[in-house]
Amino acid sequence: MHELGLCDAMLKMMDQILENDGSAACRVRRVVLEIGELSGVVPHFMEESWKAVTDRTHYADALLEISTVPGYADCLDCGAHLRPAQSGFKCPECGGGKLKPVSGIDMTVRSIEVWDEE
Amino acid sequence: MEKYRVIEIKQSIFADNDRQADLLREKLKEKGVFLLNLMSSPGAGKTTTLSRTIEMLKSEMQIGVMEADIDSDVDAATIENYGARVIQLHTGGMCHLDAGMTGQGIEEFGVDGLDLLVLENVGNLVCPAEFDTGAVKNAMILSVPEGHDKPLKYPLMFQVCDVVLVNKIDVLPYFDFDMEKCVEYVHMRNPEAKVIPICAKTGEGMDAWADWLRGQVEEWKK
Repeated sequence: MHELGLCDAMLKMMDQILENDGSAACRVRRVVLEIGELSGVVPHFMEESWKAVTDRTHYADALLEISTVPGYADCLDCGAHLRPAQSGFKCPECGGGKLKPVSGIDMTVRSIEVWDEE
Repeated sequence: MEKYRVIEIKQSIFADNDRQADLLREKLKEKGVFLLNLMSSPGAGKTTTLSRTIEMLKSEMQIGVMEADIDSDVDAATIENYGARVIQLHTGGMCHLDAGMTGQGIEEFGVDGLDLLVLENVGNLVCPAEFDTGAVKNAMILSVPEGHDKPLKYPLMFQVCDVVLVNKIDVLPYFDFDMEKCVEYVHMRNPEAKVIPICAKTGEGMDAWADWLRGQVEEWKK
């Protein structure tokens, strides 16, 4: 359940962003999160952790919208560019297993939507 | 009708931590302190390996240890007996340390005059690998009873490590541990990683490890 620690880091980051934006007091409507396919983060566990971490905070009613970003890697043996999740974590060209992930390793908050309460 | 506003950010949740980690490394470089982040699963032999390492190097360098645990201070008490300065950090339930927590620990500890500072991370093969602590190098200990397939099961841990110590090689005859496969699997995750088989209890292989560490500390102080 490393997702719990990640959720905590995500909340800290968003708190800072909301504060800088002058929206610290606003209720949050929706958070759009992108999870890289090679990040080792399981979207379902992220949703579960989100519920636990946001309970009784201004994120409590917010919808967490998760999309998965495809991950690509370079084969260090033959230089092929591949998508490990689709080729059994082996290079489909040469069968090598030394893969260097180049994208889809991160977890990025795309946007936060806040209610304007005036 | 209620209105809402969209704040576009597109920011990695690791961005903050990565920035803090870089700042911490800069600060340590100025002070000439080499920070090693030591990771493993619980029971792989972090404390024993560390005790032995301190014994081998304490005559040539000043060593400090930060023990991170969810609770308790049994490791700190053990390490102190071996002649290193120790501080115990409690993570308060968190399964890993991030750069902020490491920085706080360093502030509290006072690292002036130290050559080598070892951060004994929480015993866990998943979370500690995700957060850059600000360490100069990452090391992990894989013990023989855990099996040679761990690099396949915990890819990120092996991806971020500069050196992998395969500990408890004295019990190799009793386990189906394939050293060759282990090295192959580690290199699948990280072709640059150095693999050093050791036995912290008998001292076998510990010279190679001490040499690596000594070289890294010297390099950092240049």
